[in-house]
Formats: sequence, structure tokens, C-alpha cells
Amino acid sequence: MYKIDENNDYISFEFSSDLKYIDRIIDDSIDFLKSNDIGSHNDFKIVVRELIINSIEHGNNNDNSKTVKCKISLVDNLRFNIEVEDEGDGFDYSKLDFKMPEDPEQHRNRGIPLINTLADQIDFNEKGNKINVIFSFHNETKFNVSNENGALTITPSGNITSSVADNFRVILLESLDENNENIVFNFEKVEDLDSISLSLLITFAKMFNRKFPNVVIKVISANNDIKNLFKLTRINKFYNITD
Amino acid sequence: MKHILIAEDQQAARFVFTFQLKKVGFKVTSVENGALALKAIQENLDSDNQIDFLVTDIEMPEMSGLDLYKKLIDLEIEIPTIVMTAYGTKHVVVELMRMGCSEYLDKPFPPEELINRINQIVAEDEKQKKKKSKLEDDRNRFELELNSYKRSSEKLREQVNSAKNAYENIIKIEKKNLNVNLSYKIEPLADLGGDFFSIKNTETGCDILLADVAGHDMGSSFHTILIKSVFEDNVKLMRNGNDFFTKLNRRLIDESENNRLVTAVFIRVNLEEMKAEITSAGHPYTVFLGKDSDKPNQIAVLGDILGILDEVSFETSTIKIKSKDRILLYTDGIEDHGYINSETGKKIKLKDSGLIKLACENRELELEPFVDKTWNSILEFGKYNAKDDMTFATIEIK
Repeated sequence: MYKIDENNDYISFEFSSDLKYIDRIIDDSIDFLKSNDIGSHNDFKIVVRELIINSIEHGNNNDNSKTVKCKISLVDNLRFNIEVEDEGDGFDYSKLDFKMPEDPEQHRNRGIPLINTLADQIDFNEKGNKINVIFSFHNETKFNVSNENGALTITPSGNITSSVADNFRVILLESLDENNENIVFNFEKVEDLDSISLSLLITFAKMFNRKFPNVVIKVISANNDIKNLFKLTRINKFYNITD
Repeated sequence: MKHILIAEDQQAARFVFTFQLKKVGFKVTSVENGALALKAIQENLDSDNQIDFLVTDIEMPEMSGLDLYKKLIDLEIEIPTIVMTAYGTKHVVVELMRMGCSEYLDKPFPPEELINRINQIVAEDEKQKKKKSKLEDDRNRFELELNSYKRSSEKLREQVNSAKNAYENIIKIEKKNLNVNLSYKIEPLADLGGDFFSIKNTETGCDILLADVAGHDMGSSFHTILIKSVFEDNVKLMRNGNDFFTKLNRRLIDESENNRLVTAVFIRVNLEEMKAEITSAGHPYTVFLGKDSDKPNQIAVLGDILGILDEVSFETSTIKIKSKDRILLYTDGIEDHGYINSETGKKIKLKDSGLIKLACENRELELEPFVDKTWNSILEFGKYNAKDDMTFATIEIK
């Protein structure tokens, strides 16, 4: 049995407990994502696959007469809710171990930790036979460099974390080559800076000051968390934070 | 020289074929029935005298050509074969073809025909063998490569394991015999972490260090080794927090290839004077939970981060301590631990205020359960979805 229902905001499936349906569900949901302009799906595929395998193997104990329901719905433009329900007895999810098994060869029990790593949030219903997962697609942060009134302005399109650190490093070095002593970071779209990107900012400031002693780099539109971080780590010695 | 076996019950035919084949340079053995042919093949298998080619009649006493062919298939002996058929044996040809033998000659045929066919088949067989051996070569090479990858991946895993063990040893603390009570949790994001926590007795109390190296990979975990050694030296030398961090900063810059930011907090507990000196290198504020005070107090000390800047300085704050006072230390992984709000998609972080709130809720508990419960609440707050190394430690004055 394989039933599918779809409209603009969601796609839902109901199917008997058979692993053979997985690829079909993945394909159909990817089509749904594409209709919502979502590009790359590898992590999403992993999450959906693990969820369905869990519900078939552990939830329904591979009992073919039992069905699994899966619904993928749009929360907002880059976020989706994935709901998977089986007909099993549920389980005590409070005892779940979200930590990845240490043995890389171990394939069992990777499911939930893997989902937890890739998704934003996992919730269960009280019985434990229905799981709700929020999954976000992330646009990789781009760095826009422009010249505004003679100031070289660097505007990241989102958070600066280790995953974009290499790009960030390149942008910083290129900016230094411009020989412009008027540099501004516009952090209006940055909510988070991790310590790797903070390392880069300090190293950059150090190199910048060698070139332009006593010149301060400007940071505009930073949120309070970032302001506090700059204060705590004393990076505000090199960066003048204004609104 | 190819060795050809002829199985033919008629002596005259046997004689003619043997003569003709020997003339063109083949080595020939001839037998008068299938059973003897099978015996000759089996006896000479894998020897210098091995049979390379079989020419067999169908109708023979003892064992027919067809039975011989079947037997060879059963025994998985592969020999190129030509079957000589005669009028009345066409039905056998069909069966032979079904079994995969496609080479047969209709009697009568001129001896040259037999020689031509043998040469053709031998050439084809050589070609196949070459192809097969190339395939086998490829497969062997592939297997070799695979094994070498497997070996290097195992080696890599071993190295990671040994690094992991090293890291586990680095962060392992013997809690017994310490001059203060201690309970702590340290949870690396992956096998290897960049958080380092240590406590050592001194003559007047103890020295405590919590450091956080940016990243959580092998690089950061090796930084922790350097930090450990500088810290342990410092315990012996009893340099103050500012001097210790200045030294540590120098060594981090000089002895590591890449600029990795390190934040750290150093606490010297002096039980003779009942005071604690807290020095910070860009680290999240330490929390003081006085036994009698109603609310926790953040010790706001500032300092430069370590590992990148050449000129650094660090503030130290001194607080008075008494029995049962607690000092809470943590890394920014705790502050940043959180969950994604499903309404807005934004991350809700625990922050220092969240940690202080949890600590207040549990402050009546004994030290161990206090740390356990607070830790579990922290994990629960972030739905167990850690994105950074996390360390939470509490010191209690005895």
C-alpha cells in the first residue's frame, strides 16, 4: 500500500511497513522540495530515510500489515516539518542516547543521533510512536564587498562559522590588498560568530594594524550578543562598534 | 607444444587423426573411449603433460562423448573441446549446445579441417585466457588498493583513537585528595575536543584552569596538550594569573602553526587567606555562588584572548571565600547551547543568565547532585543537540 497526498504546503505519505517504499518517498519528497525552490538535499534525504527506517524496523517491527504515515510540510521558506508516525507501541524516548556511537563501523543506533545532528529539533509524542523533526536548509553565507562612500564594506549574508571560514579568510586577505584604511563590517545579517571566525577577525586586525597603525576597523549593525562577545574577548580594541 | 587428446573408438580414425596432428606439431594422446579419456585428463591435470585440447567422438563404449563432456562440466574441468558427430547423432548436438559446447565437426571431414578448427580454438582460447588474466590482474590490483586504503584508514582510525585516548587522559582529573571539592562534566562534540580543564593542589590551596581552544578537531586537542604542560609548570612556579597567561600566550604563538584563539580562566584558591584570584583571558564570566548570599554573582574580569596577539594583558579579581562557597566555571559551548525555536527558526541560547537560573534552582543540592542536575538541565534545554564542546565545573570550598 502506498498513498500520497500533496498540495503547495505539504506532501504526505501512507504506506505499509516495507523498506522498498523508501526510495519512492525520497524521490517524491525531493520533487516537493524542488517545487519549493530548495536546491541541495543530501542531509534532508538522510533524515527522512533514517526516520522511515526507524518507524518500519523499530516502530512497526517490520510488520507488513501496519502502516507508516509521513508528512513533510513547509514551515517557512527554508524550514520544513517532518512528521513520521507508526503503529507500534512507542518507546521511552527519554532514555534515548543522542550521542553518535564511537565505533565508526557500527551502523546500528546511528539513526537518531544522526537525525539530531542534522536537524534543528526532534520531538516525540507522549507514547513515542510519532516523531516530529524540524529541518532547516541553510544558505551558505556569502560575503558581499562593496565600496560605500570610500569605505570598503564587507557584508556577510548570514552567520560566520567554521564552515565558511575559508571563504571568509580569502575575503579578508583580499580586502587587505585593497590598501584601503577605511574598512567597515556590516553585521546586520549576522546572528552568530563562532570562535574560528573570531580568530580570523583578530588575525585580520593584527595584520591590518601592521599596515595602518592606530586605525580602527568599524563594525556596524552588530547585535548585542556580538557586541558582548567583542567586549568579553577585548576584540573591541581593534574594532569600533557603532550602530 | 599443445597436448591434444583424441577419444575415438575406431582404430583407423584414431590413427589418421593422431598422425595428422603430430605432423603439424601437436603432442597427441589417443584413447578408445570416454572413460579412458577422463582418466587421461584427470591424471595429467596441472602437470607438464596436461591435456590442452579434447577431440572426442560421441558414440563410444564405456563412456560416450556426451557423458564425458557432462562429467568434465561436473568436475569443473575446463578444456576446449571439439565433438565429432556422425549421422544419427544430431540430437546429441542439440544437447551439447545446451551445455555450452559449440564446437563440433560432422563426420566425415578432411583432417585439415580438424587442424584448422583446433588452431582457431586454441588461438581464441589463448585470447580469452589473456583477457581473463588481465581481468584477474585488475581485480587483484583493485583488491590490493582496497586493502591499502583499508589499512591506511585503520591506521588513521588508530591515530585518532590514540589522540582520543591522549585527550581523554589530558582531561582526566583525580578528584580524590584535592584541597577543594570538585564536580565537573566535560563533553567533547566529537572524539576530540578543544576544552581543557585541570586542577592541581598547591601548598596553600589549588590552581584551576579552564581553557577553550577554537575548533574541536585534532589540532585543537593538540593545543590542549601544550596548555596542560604550561599549566603544570606554572603550578610549580606559582606565577600569578597575568604572568601565567602571558607565558601561555607566547608559547601558543611560538609553538603552533596556526593561529587558534584560546580563551581561558585561571583561578588560584588560597585557603590560608581564604581568597580566590580569578584571571580571565577573554573567557565567559565565572559565577560565584556564595553559601549565604541570595543570588549568584558573576565575576566580571576581562582579558585578551590567547594565541594570536603579541601584546596581551589580563585582569585579575580577588574574592573572599568561605566554606561551602561555590565557584562555577564553564565554556562558551554552554552559553551557546540551545535549540531552534520552531515558530521563528531562530536559535534560543541558554546564555549565562540561563545557566545562573538553573544553578539557583539546584543550589540547595549537595555538590555532586548539583552538578549532575544542572548539567542534565543544560543538555535538556538544548534538546541534546550540542554544537560545540561543553564543559561545566563547580568548585566547592571544603
